[in-house]
Amino acid sequence: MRLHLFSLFILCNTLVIAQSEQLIPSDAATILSINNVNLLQKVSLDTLIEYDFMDEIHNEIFDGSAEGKTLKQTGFDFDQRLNIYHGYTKDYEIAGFTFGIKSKKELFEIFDDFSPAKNNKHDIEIYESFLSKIAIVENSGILYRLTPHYYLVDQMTDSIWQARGNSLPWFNFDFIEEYEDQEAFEIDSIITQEFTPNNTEDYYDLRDSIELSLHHKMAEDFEETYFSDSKKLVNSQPAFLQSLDTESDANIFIDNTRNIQSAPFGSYTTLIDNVMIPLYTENIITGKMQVIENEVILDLNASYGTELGEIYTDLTDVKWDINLFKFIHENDPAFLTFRLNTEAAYNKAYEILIPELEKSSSRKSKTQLLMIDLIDIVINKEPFFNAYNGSAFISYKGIKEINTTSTVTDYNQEDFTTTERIVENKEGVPVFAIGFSCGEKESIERILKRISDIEKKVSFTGDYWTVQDGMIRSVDVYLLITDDHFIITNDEDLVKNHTDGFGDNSIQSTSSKSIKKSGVLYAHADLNKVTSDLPKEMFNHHENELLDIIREKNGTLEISSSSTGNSNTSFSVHYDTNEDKNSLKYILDLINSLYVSQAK
Amino acid sequence: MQFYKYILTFSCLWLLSGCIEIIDDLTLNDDNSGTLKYSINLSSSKIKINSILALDSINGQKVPELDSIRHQVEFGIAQLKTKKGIKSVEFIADYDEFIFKVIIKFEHLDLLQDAFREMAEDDFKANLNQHNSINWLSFSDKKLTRSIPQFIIDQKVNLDSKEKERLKEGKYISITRFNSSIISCSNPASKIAKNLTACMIQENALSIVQNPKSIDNIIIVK
Repeated sequence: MRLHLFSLFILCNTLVIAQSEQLIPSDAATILSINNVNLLQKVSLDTLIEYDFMDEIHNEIFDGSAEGKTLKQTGFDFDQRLNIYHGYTKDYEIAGFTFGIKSKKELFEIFDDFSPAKNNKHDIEIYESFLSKIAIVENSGILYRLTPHYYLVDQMTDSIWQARGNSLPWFNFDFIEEYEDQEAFEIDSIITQEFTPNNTEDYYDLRDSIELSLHHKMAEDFEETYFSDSKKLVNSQPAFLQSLDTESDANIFIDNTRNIQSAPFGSYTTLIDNVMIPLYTENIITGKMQVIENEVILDLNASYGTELGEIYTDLTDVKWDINLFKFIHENDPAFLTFRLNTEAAYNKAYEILIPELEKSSSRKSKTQLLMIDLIDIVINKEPFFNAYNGSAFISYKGIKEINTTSTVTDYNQEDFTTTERIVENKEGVPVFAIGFSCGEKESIERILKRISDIEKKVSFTGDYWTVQDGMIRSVDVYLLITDDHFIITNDEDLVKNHTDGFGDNSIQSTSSKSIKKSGVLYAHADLNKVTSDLPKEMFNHHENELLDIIREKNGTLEISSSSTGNSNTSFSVHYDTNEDKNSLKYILDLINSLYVSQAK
Repeated sequence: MQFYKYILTFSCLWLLSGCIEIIDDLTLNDDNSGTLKYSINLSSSKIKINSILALDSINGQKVPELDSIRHQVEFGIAQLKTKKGIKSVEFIADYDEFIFKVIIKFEHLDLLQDAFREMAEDDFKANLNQHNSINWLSFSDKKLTRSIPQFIIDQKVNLDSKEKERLKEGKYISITRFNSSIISCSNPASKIAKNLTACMIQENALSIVQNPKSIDNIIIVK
């Protein structure tokens, strides 16, 4: 009886979830499934489409046809999930989303530039708009867009262009040098049609024609296998279906194995081909996200193959050095701690990677092997790995104004002749500290002494070393070396007044239990204090996109992990908005940052 | 040689860092010879500039390395020295304070313009042709006409609201000096020196980016 009830429960669950997600193509490797889409009915379409993860949807519907409408009026069926997917094959990038359909009429008021496409499948409706297509199967739909890899398009264009007796509009020596060792990839099978551009067509017109033809051919091949052979993710990747549940507000599925195997240029790098791909087998990240009142909880599980698992296990096989954390002040807005056994990980990686590299017969692999063996023999591993082995932290201490000078110009009103004068200025810089367990105080001090003999900007001042203008050529950086720890910081107060740490004012008393309980890492951020003042100029575009997750937000963010096992590690992200009611916006920001970090 | 493009790309990054001061100081003699002093002062945002230089890219644009900037600028200066009508070029660079000055002595204003045009033609072949015949500097019958070259205006800069705010802190100062007294200046933002031989326009950097014609001027002298 109990078995029957359990089977009925599974069946009910399957009936609920087996709709829009059934249409995700097997090429998809990163999927965000937004469950209980009612959550999103509270958001206007205009707000929602500003997120990167809605780019695909945005491109299709934000053309004026959606103005003033909410998601509820778009014809979507909110009892089905909205699944946003992205993936690569060797030939193209595919992106889009799958969705439930409540009203086809309302749907095509939004997708108003789509028109019926030729189709010989009686149970499927296909619509197209330039490079995008929508296929409708019963009450679910999929929007898909294929983009041929640009290097395929480039190579084919160059080849045809030169065969016609033209010279290339440029000659990129860096490109040639970088890819001269690559094996030629097969393009003949991808394209079958003749290009007959007229004589006045320039290189870029030819390139556009080739890209369009490749797109059509690839889309045709994709549809053939997708519809006829049912190449769906739920068939090829059962772990995806298992990762979905009806309780979570959103589910995340990332197949890193295929992301590495198929990413553009991925297969042309010797190291990736010979080392990364064999190592990254069965590497899948699944996640469940829930919003409970003013809390957002994200549970992630990273599973991996045995060989990578052995490296990870050895890498984290070391105890927390709680004493190190006396150098993190309790008022620091954010800190990250982690522990690594670099020597054990090196030995394990050497044991696993060398045989993989030896399998390759390429000259590049042989050279890499020679370099690795030379380094392994020449290097004195014991002091090298003792220099950093154990725990580490990075803490952010906020923005501090430092004194600088600048030159200003004055004008004589008589004849506008100019004079210059120096004035004092203040500029804000982020203050940080990085620390790690270190068992090689004497060796490091000896090396710093040698450096200071030849470099005037490095000097020793009693308890610590100073690297003048060490940070962005403007801010002094200090190195504090104790018997067991090595601290790098630009916080003058830390090295001048707290060479033994912050004592009772450190996080040792408040957070050490949480750190000890955590596996490989633990992080804490008080978002009220952190990020609105973090200068964007200090970070690149991608880092800024990730930092946007915590910019201008309230509450506390805590990240912890389980112990690392041979087959998986789990991570937990707990975000407490401190009674701020805007948790929906936060979950969308979090989804967006995760999507950006994976898809770009 | 992509001298202008290189300088423009880097200037955009500088502009985004905020407090920039650009002084363009032209002294013109009666025979059309003269001196152009052009200086860029970024000393009040040197930490921001150093931060930007430490990055690979910002807003999707590759950040050039300091050494390659130095190399490109010096190469461009060397090129300028070879142009007809250029008597001398002096380049003073302070890469710690980020203050750069170029002093160009020329035989005739038209030749100075030709020298710039030739260098720009190397960089903006496609765009420059249509504007090739337009002068942005001319002095005849005691009347000087000044504007920003069209090929510079064509290099569009997309700015978000925060970048626009920061650009407001930047200054562009254009000074024109003569041996004779100034009778009138067409630009209402012009100020004439007490001794009547110099005219100055000062605008914030955002105004120049948004409306490059805001520093156009026609100056008539005795």
